[in-house]
Amino acid sequence: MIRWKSGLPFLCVCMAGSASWARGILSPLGPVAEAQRAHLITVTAVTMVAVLPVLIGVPLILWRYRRVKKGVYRPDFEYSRGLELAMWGVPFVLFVLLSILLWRSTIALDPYRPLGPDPLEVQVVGLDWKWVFLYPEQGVATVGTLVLPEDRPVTLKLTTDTVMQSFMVPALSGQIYAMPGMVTTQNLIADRTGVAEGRNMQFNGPDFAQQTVRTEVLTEGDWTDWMEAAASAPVLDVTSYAELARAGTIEDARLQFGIAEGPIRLRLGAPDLFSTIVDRYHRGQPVPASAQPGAPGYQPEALR
Amino acid sequence: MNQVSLGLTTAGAALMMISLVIGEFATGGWTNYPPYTGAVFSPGVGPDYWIWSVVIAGIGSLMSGINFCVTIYKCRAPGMTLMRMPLFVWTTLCSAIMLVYAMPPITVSSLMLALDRVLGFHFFTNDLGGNMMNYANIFWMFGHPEVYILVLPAYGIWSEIASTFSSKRLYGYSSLVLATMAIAVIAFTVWLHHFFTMGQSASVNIAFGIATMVIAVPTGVKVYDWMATLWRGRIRMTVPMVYMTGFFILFTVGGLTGVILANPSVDYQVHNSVFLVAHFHNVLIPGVLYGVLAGIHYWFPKVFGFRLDERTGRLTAWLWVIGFSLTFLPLYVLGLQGMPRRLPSFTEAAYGPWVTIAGFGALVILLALTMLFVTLWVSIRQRGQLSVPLGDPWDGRTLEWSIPSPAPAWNFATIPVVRDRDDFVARKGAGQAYEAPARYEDIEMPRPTYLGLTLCLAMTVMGFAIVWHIWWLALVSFVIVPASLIYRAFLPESEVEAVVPAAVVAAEDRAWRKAIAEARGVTRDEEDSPANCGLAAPEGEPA
Repeated sequence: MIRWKSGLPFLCVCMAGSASWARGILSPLGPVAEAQRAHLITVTAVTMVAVLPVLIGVPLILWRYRRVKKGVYRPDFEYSRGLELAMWGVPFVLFVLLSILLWRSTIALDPYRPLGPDPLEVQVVGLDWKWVFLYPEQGVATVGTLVLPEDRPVTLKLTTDTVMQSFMVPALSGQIYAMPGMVTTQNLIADRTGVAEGRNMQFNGPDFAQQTVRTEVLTEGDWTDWMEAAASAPVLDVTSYAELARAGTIEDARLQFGIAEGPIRLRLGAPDLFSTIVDRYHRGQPVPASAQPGAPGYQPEALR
Repeated sequence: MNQVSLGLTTAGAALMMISLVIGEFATGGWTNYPPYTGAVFSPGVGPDYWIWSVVIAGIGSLMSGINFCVTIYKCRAPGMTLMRMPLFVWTTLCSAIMLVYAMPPITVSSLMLALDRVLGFHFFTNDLGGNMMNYANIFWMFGHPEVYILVLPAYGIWSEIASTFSSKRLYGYSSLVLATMAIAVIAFTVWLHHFFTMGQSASVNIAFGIATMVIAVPTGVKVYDWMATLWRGRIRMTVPMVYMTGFFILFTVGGLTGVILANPSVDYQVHNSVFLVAHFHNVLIPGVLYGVLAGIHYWFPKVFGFRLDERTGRLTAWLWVIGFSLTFLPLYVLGLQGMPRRLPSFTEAAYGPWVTIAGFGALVILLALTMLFVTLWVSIRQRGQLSVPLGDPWDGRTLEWSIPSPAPAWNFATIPVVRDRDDFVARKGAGQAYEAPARYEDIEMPRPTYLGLTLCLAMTVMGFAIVWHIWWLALVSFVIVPASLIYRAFLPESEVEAVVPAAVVAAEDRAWRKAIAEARGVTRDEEDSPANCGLAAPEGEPA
């Protein structure tokens, strides 16, 4: 990665001309983000019908009717039925058209809508300041890395074990909130291999900036190999989860599991970890600060 | 009541300022979303300062809203029917109505959060049935109408300016009133678009997305109405018109991105990103801030008796336009690249150039801000040459320009009878602009009072005491509020109000009319010269 230095603004401006600025929705890895980008372009184009008359008309009027020019002057002009009709009518027609587009795209891109048979379920748990991904079928867990197979529908089930967060990998789909005690869903497909950056979008404290997700899309075969390699990895069970849940970054997780570099790949030792995390907020008992991951008073012993 | 509202707003601001020195402020972003701002996650005083400054200032705003509504409904001059009111009064009325309905939700949501934090309630906590989604809902029931509360008065200012500086009647008055009312109502039905991404069903998002887009229709109509007002006018590029030019172009871009954001499928991508930050600054800076600055330039001579310097003023206005564009337009690109708001640092190389441009733009804005004070300084130094004691420096159209500048404490020596929307223009046309009244009457004026200041201090101390859990002090300062109100209620009439005798009013008014009779009316060519003492010569005949 090129490190950006404040002393090189002009080089950076030149860079802006190249393709290097295309990130996220601007360089999609799957059909959901692609459709979102297409919708963005369509809406912009349609709205231009209402916007362009202002952008062009205002400078023209200001020039044509400037005082020194002594042009046509109609100080009492205050109403014209035709003009009135156009002013209300054209935006209204655009509004109706845009509403139809909005309706259709919102249904088509509803994050809850399954995108095909046999989706891969990945459970996502937001902690302060890292994302944990659980692959219950494969018995694998990762921290800060999301590894997906190419061309297979994916269903993300999201919650957090701390404050509200918002999960997004813009190259694949939009964001959705993840909240403690609740489960939200995001369906997506990656239809080409590659790497994309994802992150938490909802501010949640000092190391918010570090809460990123490296997302890798692998071919089906590579993905299976990747998952199988977790068999010999450190284990994520209730005890190690309680430690992981402490407020800290991905680097802190590396220290905990002794993984100096590469993805933090773990063996999932507690298959129902996700439902345990969600259910803990529904026991009808208080969750004291000592048992609340992410809180300053959190004690891992209290969670076990 | 006006003074008390101002006092409470000041108390809220004072708490915010105090927090900069003692403690910390709003550590959870301006929306103060729980559970992050709950006691479990944020035991510090940041959220408490936020809560109490918002609650106290909010009560002030609510009272202002009630005050404006009642004044506009009940205290109009004879002949000033609703449909003859200047557009600025209309938009202020709509804004005031909205304040009355929008302030209670934020007061409630903030107090609920305070109960959570201080008394261990569970409205928005993670456990025991608390739910942060309720906070988001109640907060935005205020939060969305709020932006229209901000922008509607500015729409009124634009209407006055477009008409005055093109020497033309306002185009589409009824349309503008209707559009203002439509915006005021629809603004209450769109709050959910601030959290399309909270996981509700697509049909809910569709309903609120469409409701959001429909606001673009009356807003668009307003922009077209102002364009039509300028059309076939005699436009003078004064400082307010420079701001208005920037407003037209930039606000329209902001409207475009607003329509884009109203689409849930796009919002999923750019929500919580700097695209959104760019959008709301794009409507609020050119829309509200430019409007306020233009309004200050426009009404400054009415309030202080002298014009602001045009040359430095124009430079300031252009700096604002350039500074805004450089700072916030790059944020659209950054937002599409996925850069979140409230990001303290980044390693993404692609953000670099755009953040650099935005940073440079921020310096230009700083320069614009400095120039604002330079303008004020230069104008005060040259106030002799810029003074307009006769009261009508811009060939004004509405009645505030028919009285001296600065306006006397009683404003109008005799209450005018209104016959037209542009009543002053009609009078000038008929040659009756400065007809002396037949007789003068005593005028009742409120006496100065310490009530506002007392409540301001009491509420500031109360807020501070609650933030730091000094309960005895909070109680004492709270008791001062009803005590001072009751005390004032028992004051005799003569202590509350003073009477200005008719003779005093008559003497001052006659002296002003004499000065007018001796003065020479200036044409618009001389608007920006020392010759402009505030008496306007008629603009040319219709072509």
